[in-house]
Amino acid sequence: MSWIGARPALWRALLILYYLAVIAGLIAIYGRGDFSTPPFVYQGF
Amino acid sequence: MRDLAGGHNLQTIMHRARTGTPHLFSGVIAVGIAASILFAGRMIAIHLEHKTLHAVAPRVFQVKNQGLAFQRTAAHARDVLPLYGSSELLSPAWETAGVFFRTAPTGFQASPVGKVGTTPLIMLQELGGLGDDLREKKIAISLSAVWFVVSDINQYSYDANFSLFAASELMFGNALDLELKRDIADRMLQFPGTMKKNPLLGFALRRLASGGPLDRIIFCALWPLGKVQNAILDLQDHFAAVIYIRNGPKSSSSLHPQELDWPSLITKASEKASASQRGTVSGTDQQMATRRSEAWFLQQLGGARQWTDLELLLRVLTKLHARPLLLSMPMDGQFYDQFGISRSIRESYYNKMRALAQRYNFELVEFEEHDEDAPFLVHRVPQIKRVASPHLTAKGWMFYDRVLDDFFHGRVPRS
Repeated sequence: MSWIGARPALWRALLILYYLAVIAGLIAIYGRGDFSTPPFVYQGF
Repeated sequence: MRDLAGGHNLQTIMHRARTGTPHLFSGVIAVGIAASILFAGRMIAIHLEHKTLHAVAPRVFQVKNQGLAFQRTAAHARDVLPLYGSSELLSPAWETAGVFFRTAPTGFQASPVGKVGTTPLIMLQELGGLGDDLREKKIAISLSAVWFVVSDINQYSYDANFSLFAASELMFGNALDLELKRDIADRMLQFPGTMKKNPLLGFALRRLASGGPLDRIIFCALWPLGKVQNAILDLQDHFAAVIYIRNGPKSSSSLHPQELDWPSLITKASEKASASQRGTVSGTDQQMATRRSEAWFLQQLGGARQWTDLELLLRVLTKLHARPLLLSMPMDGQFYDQFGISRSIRESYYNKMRALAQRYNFELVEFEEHDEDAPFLVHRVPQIKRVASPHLTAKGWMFYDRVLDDFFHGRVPRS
């Protein structure tokens, strides 16, 4: 049995941190959203 | 004993989950922690939005126009009057409602929302997106007379104002009934460019617009997906709001009551407007207007799609139990006189607007008596003098401000 395998609590904690890091990465990439709009083109009003 | 046995079984199941499927267990825990953090972050963002409301409310900016966070905060505040309009809100004059009421001289601030090309179809999406937050809320809506004498807005104008979050909240929200949503969807689909951004919304709009029973079922099946989309957009909106607050106004505007002498303010604003217009209308400018027949004007007035959009907006406001005031800028009488459209023909516009407002029992101020009041509207620069002006001068804004003040305090608005 490996060193980490002998410490299931630590293994689970590391896995949770790993998944949290994945979620944080996804939020960093997609979290900001896009509130920009195309430029206005004068329409003759 | 049974409880103890049940507790023992639960412990066994948890133990098996931890040891048998460690990735699933850890993933679920991580998702739970992330959801809690996001929920807490959202609460903090809402707190910040409320805390900075008085500094933010008088301003017009992209995140406020395209998102709903700041608009919702303004809708919740008792001492803020949301004002929806278009390019006139961007005037640099200090008489503009947002600036004029920034210190809440009579007990409220105006919170302008809108930019160049914001028309009723965009406004109804934003207001419909706010949903029940507008119940019994007083709001002001500024309309440009010129919208109602052109056949339709163009795709560019619509794209430049379209808010995915507002549209998605409107369609997947609970505030409006399916009949009204169908009519709105039908109109929104006439601008397909915006749907490319979000296939889910485009698909849902097509299902709604078709109105068939199967399409209704499909739309209802999409509902949970739409709710998830709204939740994500809502978080993004609050995130953008927090970034704006961090980089934007640091402190709240100091609010202080003040006695307003309206006649004196109007006189000063009139002098300012007259002085800035003096000498700007020359004989050369006047020749730039191409004369049109009155029949042409009436045909334009009858066929303008903005009437449909305005009616949809009024239906949305009725459904939301909002308390709107409609402000219609007067027609540019000086321009139309040169154009060959007489005052009596222009009366058709005022009558039609009045009839529509009466049908929905909404207050309307048309400023009809300022139709030929030259210093009331900004007159166009010569390059675009061939079209009527939809913008207010300092004088026009001062009259607007007085109407907003009357409306907010429950007095009969004076035009």
